[in-house]
Amino acid sequence: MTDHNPSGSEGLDLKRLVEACTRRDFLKLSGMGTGAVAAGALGAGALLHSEPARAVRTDARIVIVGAGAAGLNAANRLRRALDGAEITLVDRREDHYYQPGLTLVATGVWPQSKTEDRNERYVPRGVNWVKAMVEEYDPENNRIVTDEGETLEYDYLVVTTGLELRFDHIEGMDADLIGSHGIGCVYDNPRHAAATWSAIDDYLAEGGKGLFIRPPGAIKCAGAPLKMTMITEHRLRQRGMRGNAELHYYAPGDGLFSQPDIDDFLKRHFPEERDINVHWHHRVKGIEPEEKRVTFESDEDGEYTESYDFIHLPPSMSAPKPLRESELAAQEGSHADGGWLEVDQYTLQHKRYPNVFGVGDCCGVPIGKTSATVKNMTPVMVENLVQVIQDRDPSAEFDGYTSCPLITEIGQAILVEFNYDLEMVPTFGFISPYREHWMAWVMKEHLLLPAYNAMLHGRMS
Amino acid sequence: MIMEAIATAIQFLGGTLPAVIILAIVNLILLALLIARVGSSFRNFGRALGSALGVGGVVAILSVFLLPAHTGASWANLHGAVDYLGLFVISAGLGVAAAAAVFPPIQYLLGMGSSSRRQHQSARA
Ligand SMILES: Cc1cc2nc3c(=O)[nH]c(=O)nc-3n(C[C@H](O)[C@H](O)[C@H](O)COP(=O)(O)OP(=O)(O)OC[C@H]3O[C@@H](n4cnc5c(N)ncnc54)[C@H](O)[C@@H]3O)c2cc1C
Repeated sequence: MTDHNPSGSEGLDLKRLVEACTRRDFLKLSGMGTGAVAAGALGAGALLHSEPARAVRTDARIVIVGAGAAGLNAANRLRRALDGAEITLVDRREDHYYQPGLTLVATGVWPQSKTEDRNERYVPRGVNWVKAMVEEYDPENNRIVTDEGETLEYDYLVVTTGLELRFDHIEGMDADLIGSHGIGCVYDNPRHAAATWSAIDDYLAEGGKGLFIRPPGAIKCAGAPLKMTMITEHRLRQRGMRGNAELHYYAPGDGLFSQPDIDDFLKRHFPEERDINVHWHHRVKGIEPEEKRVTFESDEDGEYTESYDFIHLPPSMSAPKPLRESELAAQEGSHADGGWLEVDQYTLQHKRYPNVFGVGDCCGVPIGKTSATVKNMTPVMVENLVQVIQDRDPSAEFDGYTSCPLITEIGQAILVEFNYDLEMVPTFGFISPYREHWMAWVMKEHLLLPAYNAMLHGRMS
Repeated sequence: MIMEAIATAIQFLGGTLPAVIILAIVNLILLALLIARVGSSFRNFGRALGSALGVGGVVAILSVFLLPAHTGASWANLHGAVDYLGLFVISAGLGVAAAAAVFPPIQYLLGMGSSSRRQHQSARA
């Protein structure tokens, strides 16, 4: 690993480690007197005043890596929960994308601009924003190194870097191909979502064979490939072109959705009500864009090639490279493959580095790579971090809350919300999580963006 | 939950929030003037309320018919009591908001005559 520390020191530096530990111990002691107020201050995170009445006093240096949904939410909450902390946010990206809206852009419901925002609107005052990317994590020495060569030392680290789309896992595929050669992918960014819509629009006019891929492994918003399939099918009907189109969905395993009731529903709904052919145990190996051909690896049929007129081709996903190649990544078990952050799934504290926490897509937790998950994870992480600053054991627990407004048609959706036990946990008891509703669509189209923006300000629990 | 709803509502209104706040302030000033009987009064209250409720009713009825299409949905997308109830509640909410927005100016206009007569009388006395 390259060391960008200007001081030139390399590897494990014991002196630094001892110094950092001593400093953290001091910070814990100074924070202990305020013990009882932490929960109150955090509870007030949802209130509409800028500073809680009794924030926890600390001089801790907290570095948050990633200014996406989780990083901005965490920065706002920590800013209010802590008094005197030196909070630094690291991310070069200044544009903010409302990713849950990309499905609507890629299906022609929303204009691209509706999902584009600026991070500066959400970075709280008093938080130092370093516009660079973290290139190296050095948890032994409590420091990170940016791609500008700057070394940042911390007492506590919060990792919120989201995930990386692994287009490199598909031979012949490149993000720049999205929108051309009949290739679409909703996942990348607003521009590529709009390009996906133009490819779908062409397909709606011509018809032919449409292939929809669910990549293997953990992916963000696992409902998105399903939504893309169902909305395209609906668009074909709207244009009177359904009879000219043949739709296929390729799953890497033998399920369509992790929540079993919804999985059962989709396994009936796709073939019986939507005439979509489902192919199990398929993974994409490569694509030949010029020929409009894709090569699959199938457990049953081995390797074979299929032609297409349109293909929705999201790649597999992993933790971003600096994280997955760092000591912070899971070293063994199911989360090691993707290099996900090795956190306890309930407390969100790192399993080996107790001064490191994680929130969002980068975390190695069983389910929940959604912004709804971020909404529920962040207050838990903040509460636990504040407790650790006060030398207490983290006691708040994240229950795995995951939500997916599963759009089955433009105009209706199933509001699916579930936890680690895969039990439905509907926020609105009156809206059934088992059937399609217009109300769920209204929420998705009109209310979730403002709720998301309120979350970025740290105002949602 | 209430605070979260308010936070979401503020974001929902977004760019229109300043206009909504200005409208609310103007209406509050008109109400204060009405209560203080400055320039107008609550004379013809029944007519003013009726007119405001009429405007609200029209907005609510239009909303019932136009809202699904406005959201890109068709009537076939409304499933069961929850969706219809939701449609009526949202439409009623829009109707109440419209009525509340137009009541102060209507009342002010309809009550003006009485106040000026009273001021005229007190000036003669
Ligand atoms: C098409 C699509 C549809 C979706 N639909 C829904 C939905 O309906 N409902 C829902 O709840 N969720 C949905 N999601 C998921 C949701 O958007 C994500 O789960 C959420 O954005 C995760 O937040 P995050 O902060 O973990 O990651 P992100 O929001 O992706 O932010 C990560 C940030 O980290 C930064 N970063 C990365 N590496 C580094 C580094 N080395 N140094 C510094 N900074 C770094 C990036 O620049 C980025 O700003 C959808 C996502 C997509 C793509």
